[in-house]
Amino acid sequence: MRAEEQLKQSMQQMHLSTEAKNRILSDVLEKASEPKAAKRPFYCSAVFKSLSASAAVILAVILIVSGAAVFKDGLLSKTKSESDFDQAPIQQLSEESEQVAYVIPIRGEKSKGIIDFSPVTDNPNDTTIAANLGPGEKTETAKRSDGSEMYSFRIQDYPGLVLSKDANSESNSSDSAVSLMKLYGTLEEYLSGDYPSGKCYILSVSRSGLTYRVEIRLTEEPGLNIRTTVDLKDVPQEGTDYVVTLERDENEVSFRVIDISKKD
Amino acid sequence: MSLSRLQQEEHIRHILDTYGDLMYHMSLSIVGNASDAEDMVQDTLVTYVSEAPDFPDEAHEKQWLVKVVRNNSLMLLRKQKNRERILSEQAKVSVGKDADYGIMDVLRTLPEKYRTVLVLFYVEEYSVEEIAKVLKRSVSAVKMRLQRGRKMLSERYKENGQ
Repeated sequence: MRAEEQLKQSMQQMHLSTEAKNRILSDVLEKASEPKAAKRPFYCSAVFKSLSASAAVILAVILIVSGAAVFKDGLLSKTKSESDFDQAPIQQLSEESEQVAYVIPIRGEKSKGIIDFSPVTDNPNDTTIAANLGPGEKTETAKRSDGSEMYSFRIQDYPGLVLSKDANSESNSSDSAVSLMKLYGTLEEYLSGDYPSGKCYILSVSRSGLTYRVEIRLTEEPGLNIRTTVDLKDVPQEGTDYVVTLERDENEVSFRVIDISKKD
Repeated sequence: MSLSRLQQEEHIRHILDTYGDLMYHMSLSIVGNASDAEDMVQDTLVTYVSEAPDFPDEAHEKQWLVKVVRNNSLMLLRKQKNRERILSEQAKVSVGKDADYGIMDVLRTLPEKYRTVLVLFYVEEYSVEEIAKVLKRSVSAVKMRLQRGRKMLSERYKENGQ
């Protein structure tokens, strides 16, 4: 018997058992019902029902008085932006997290940079905002690509991606900002078409000597969030498509970038 | 899609009965052991219940399930820090009493890209065009994988004295 026929025969004898199916079904249903179980109103109403009428009146008076005190202290009088400010993802800049927004410095400018929100919003159009950086807290407001306000954020710390001029650099201050926003490359099939294709997003750029290290994320495959880095000799240009050639490790979800070049 | 618990249960059971083995085979060919493959089927169904879009037809639904179970399985491999544990558990795959252990061992020595294509083509009887859609590869790339995978499988099967 040929190997492929043997494979078919063997594989077809492997089934999910009835027990396994029942276990899977039960677990899936349990997980699907978890958010509903977390709802609180029923719990609150049950507490109130268990109180006597007089106890309920006393509790209501306490709630009203304490609520008034809160208003008096101004705790609820913050503006919406201040409220958002407290929860802004940009505060996680220095942490390893999926919710990190990236700061891309402007060459020759230690005090200005661009905040890349694409990892936060997952929308490459929601990436551009110029910000003054540096020590101390500052408030900036990001805008979505349609002009609507996204949220205010606070810069607590500058992560140190400084593109300062150095002796090896061919550039000078007139070559302006390294505008890396909205860059996304097109991954093309490699040689036989045997390698990943689709769009990738450039997440961050740092500089090492004469090369730019670009972190890219492949987002075409559902459930995958693959990151890899690539070295560029040229300054990446805004709105330019790049052809990225990747080699995939056998049996691993990791990629080695073997070439990157501007698309003609 | 808002379903009662009973409707949801029936729906998931239908998905399991219809595509359970397909997802299981897909995952098994990647992760190499029955226990993890069952977990991957479960994770895929949890994602299905919470995130799956409205599918225009069953073909799209099937494609989505294959893709997600494959990606989940690949992610599991990636997360596995102790590769030795996987290798040792591969020997414990529960197969039917008449199943050929040899061919499964040989299959596991092939790169994942060949395993996936071989399983979809020979076991699940997908057409080359269908595989190309699922894997987002060109038809020619799938044909090339099939050709190389078949050759590799055959050679290694013979080398093992089968």
